[in-house]
Amino acid sequence: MLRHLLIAALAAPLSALAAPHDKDTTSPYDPTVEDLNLDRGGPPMLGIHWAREHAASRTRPGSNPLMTYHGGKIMKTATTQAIFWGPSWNNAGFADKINGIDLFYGGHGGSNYAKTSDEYTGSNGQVTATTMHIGHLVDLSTAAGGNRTSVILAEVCKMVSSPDSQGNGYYAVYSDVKRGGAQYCAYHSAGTCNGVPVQFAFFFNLDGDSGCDPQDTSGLHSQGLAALANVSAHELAEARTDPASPGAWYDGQGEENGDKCAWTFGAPLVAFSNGTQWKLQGEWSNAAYNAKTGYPNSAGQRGCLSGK
Amino acid sequence: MPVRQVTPAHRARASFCISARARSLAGVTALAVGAALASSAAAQPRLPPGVDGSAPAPATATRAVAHYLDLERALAAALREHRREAAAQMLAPEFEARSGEALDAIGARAWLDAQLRARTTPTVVRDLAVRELGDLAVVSFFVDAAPVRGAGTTTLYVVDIWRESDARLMARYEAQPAHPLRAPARPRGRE
Repeated sequence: MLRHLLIAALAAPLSALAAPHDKDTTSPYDPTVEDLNLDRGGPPMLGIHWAREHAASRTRPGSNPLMTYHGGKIMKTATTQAIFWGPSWNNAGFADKINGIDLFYGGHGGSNYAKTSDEYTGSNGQVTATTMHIGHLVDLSTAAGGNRTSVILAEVCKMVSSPDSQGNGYYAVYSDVKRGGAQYCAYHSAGTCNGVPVQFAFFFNLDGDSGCDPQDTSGLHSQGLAALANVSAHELAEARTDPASPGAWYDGQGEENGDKCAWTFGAPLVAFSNGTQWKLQGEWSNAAYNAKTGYPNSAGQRGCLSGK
Repeated sequence: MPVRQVTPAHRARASFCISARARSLAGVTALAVGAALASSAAAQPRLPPGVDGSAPAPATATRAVAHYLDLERALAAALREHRREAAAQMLAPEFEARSGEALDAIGARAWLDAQLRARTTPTVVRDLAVRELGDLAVVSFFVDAAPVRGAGTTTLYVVDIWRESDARLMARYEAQPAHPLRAPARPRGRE
């Protein structure tokens, strides 16, 4: 599968990640949108200006970008809990991420950002903007990477003694293991603990990882925390609208609402209900696409929302 | 917010306490072990039916994967829809293609001619991986072509060399694997 080494990610100096990028990442479809798919981290590009024909080719005329419903449940509400796994979480340098992730999930519920997923319905009702964070757990034993979902589920079941009995539990496992050659930053999946359905997600340690970095230059968060927040937003939105097996909402290419807007940013910062601000990718909205009110993703399809 | 911390030392202490208690209560050991085993079995994590737990589920692709997936899809769409000019603009002037079925490389014009002559069938780009080497990116992936007239799905393994600075394809190498990695029952979002 996707196992080749991402040389640039490993070679990128931390200072380069922290410094404001001077490459033109303006979307060719909307000057107010930042598209990090255009910033490849190579030699200075001095701005990509897509030829009109080239830009048109990226929109794949005739293809249907809408997500469709596949018969499964959605998460009407979510009870979130973070699990920090690995001995590094005992280091002082990791404390900002623990506190920051708690603030991220704590402010997500009821935010305009959470509302971007509320148009989707499933066999059990409709997604709402309600998410409730119940804090975090720390497991200082040696952590695993993410290449086996069963291992991550086992960690969730080990740490969470009483999963949400209604099946609304979403357990986000933050490993201290770096991505290495993996070609993904995070994922979400599902399973059961003691017969209780659980949603869970896995996240690599993204410190100094340019391949998974949203390039937040606000100075509000460390690079590693900002990176985790961005992919956390992605995974939570997907879990709420497409809990695994059987699926609910994704498009003809298997892309969920987070995938369809990955690495594009409709706003410099997104404000959460607790006053915190984050640089987060948008989430796909069929309604926004149909109404032409969304911002364009990297293929120019105007269905992404940073808030609602 | 509630916080519980489990360390290896904590677990070691817990294990010792259970052992000590078991020694002092030898008469109930068998019952305790039986109950513990039953409890352990019930607490087993389980994945949904059909999920083998070995591969990551739908994942957030890295920026590099997302970027080149876009480019590969755009090129495939241009070829499939016979938009020659759009496809040509994605090829570098020095583009060449090699395959496992011919000795010599072919240039951009001949490759485009061949691609545009081919039967139009839906194709899926999947399991894409990227290795970035300065201004070059080595992009490998599978392409599944939909069955035609009762034939099975045709799968090619493709390695593309892209130049990052102008997003142009410099070279393509392709072959039909004898035992291709099977396409997932449900797309993984990286196709």
